[in-house]
Amino acid sequence: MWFFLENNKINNAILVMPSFLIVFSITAYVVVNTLKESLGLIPELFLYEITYKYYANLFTDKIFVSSFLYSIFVASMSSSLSVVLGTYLGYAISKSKSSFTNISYRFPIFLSYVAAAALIYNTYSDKGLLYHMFQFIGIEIDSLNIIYNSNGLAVILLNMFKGIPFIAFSVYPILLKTDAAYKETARNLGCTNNTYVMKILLPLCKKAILSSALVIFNYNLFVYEGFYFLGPSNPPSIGVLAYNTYLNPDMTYRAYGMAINMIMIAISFILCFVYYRILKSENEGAI
Amino acid sequence: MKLLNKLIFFIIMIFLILPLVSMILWSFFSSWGTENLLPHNFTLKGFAYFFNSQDYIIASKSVVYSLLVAFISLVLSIMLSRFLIKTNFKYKIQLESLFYLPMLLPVVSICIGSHKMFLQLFSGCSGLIVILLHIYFSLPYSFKLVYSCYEIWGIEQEQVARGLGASKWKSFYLINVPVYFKGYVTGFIMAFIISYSQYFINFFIGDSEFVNFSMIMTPYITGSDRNISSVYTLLYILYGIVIMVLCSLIEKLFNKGRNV
Repeated sequence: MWFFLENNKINNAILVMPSFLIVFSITAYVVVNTLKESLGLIPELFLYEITYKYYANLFTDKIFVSSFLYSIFVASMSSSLSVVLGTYLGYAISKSKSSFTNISYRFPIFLSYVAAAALIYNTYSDKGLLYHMFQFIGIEIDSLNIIYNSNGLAVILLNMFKGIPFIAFSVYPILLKTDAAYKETARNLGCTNNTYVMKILLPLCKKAILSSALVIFNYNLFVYEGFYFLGPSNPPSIGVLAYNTYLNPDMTYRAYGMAINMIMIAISFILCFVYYRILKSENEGAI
Repeated sequence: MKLLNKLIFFIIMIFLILPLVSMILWSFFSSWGTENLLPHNFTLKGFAYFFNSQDYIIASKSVVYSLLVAFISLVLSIMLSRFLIKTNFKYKIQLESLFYLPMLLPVVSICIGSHKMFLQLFSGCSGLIVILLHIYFSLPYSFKLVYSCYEIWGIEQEQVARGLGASKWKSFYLINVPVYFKGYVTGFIMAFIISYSQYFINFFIGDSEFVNFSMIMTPYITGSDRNISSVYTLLYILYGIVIMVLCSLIEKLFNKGRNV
């Protein structure tokens, strides 16, 4: 009965192996194969020589550089706005007694990016709900140009729509617990509201905010759906570019697709390492 | 200052709720003229289209596959948590971190990078590949939730029951399951949500048998028919909510049964 408590090697191996095989084998294969193909080792295409030219060419390619910078810009904008507004929302909800707000803010977390993209499109596209609201309050505008413009506003809105509740959901329990424990003491000691928030509340939930921010930054940077449905076709995001390059009918582009893929994986690994350091950092003051 | 705080809170909530209001309005109305304050032409055309086009079968299948993935992820998470909680070795933290890795790896990279391996190993079994990749991305979330429960409660009670003569199965069913049931249900729901919301895996790896709900929605997202896109989004949410409510009901019934 491997599921139970016997602590011998066979039982332990049976408990850990299925998950380990799935996670480790897929991750290891992806990293090794992507690195190999990005260095030009693709026997199926009669490419047998190791070369760095695909990476070198990528970094001088205008399309790649612009799409990379564009993805970084959109991800940083949406993540930083989500972190600020999400933390504020978490704080406000921890003080609110309304069960409606407590439930309604969580809805976007459960939506897929595709469903969320549909909602953002119907709300902010031309003649969508926002347009009609402007008409309703008497602001006359010819058309709303939020979707499909090159500054990525629609994707930022989509990422914020998914990111704000996620951050709020992460910090809400900590803020709730901290507020009850420290607020009165801080007030008795003459702490003002602003000092209390800046010097006590925020440092205590710094770890939760940073780790959640890292998760959403990473996701926003490489997400395919958001950019594909609501982003401009030029510049494409790095995720969309990797997919398009990989599926290019000219098979020699496959190595370029894999090189873009490898860059994405390398960035993710760096972020994973930072995430790991945050989680394992000193627990001093954490709640 | 208080007024400003309330205003910011109000704007954030409006930003989050507005798309949901838009979805509900567009689900039941077919047109909204620029000169009109409210939409008009009440219609259930979108709902009729969903059922007449047999898309409800695809949606139901998508839910069933996600339930299967969530169940497998939960079982694997329980096994993994039990292994980690009862053993101590040098690289335990590193091993634990390995299982969180898929949370931060891009779906696009994993699908493109593993494409060749899956074509070589399981050619013709796209169902198995899709399920494996769904588990790959759902497992970290359910594992994180289940393992955090194990870290809080431990397995000492179960060990005491075993020491007092309870059989393996009885100590698991009567001690472990009641204590961890809430954690198991939460882990299951989380894995379900992650699997249910996947788009790229089914789009890139799956064949026509593995079209999921997110995929059938895509043609309507940026199409001109807002009514149908809103109906599909509404039904996508409803399908998910039904499963989550059922899970919560099962949890309540289980707890009620124990109290009786």
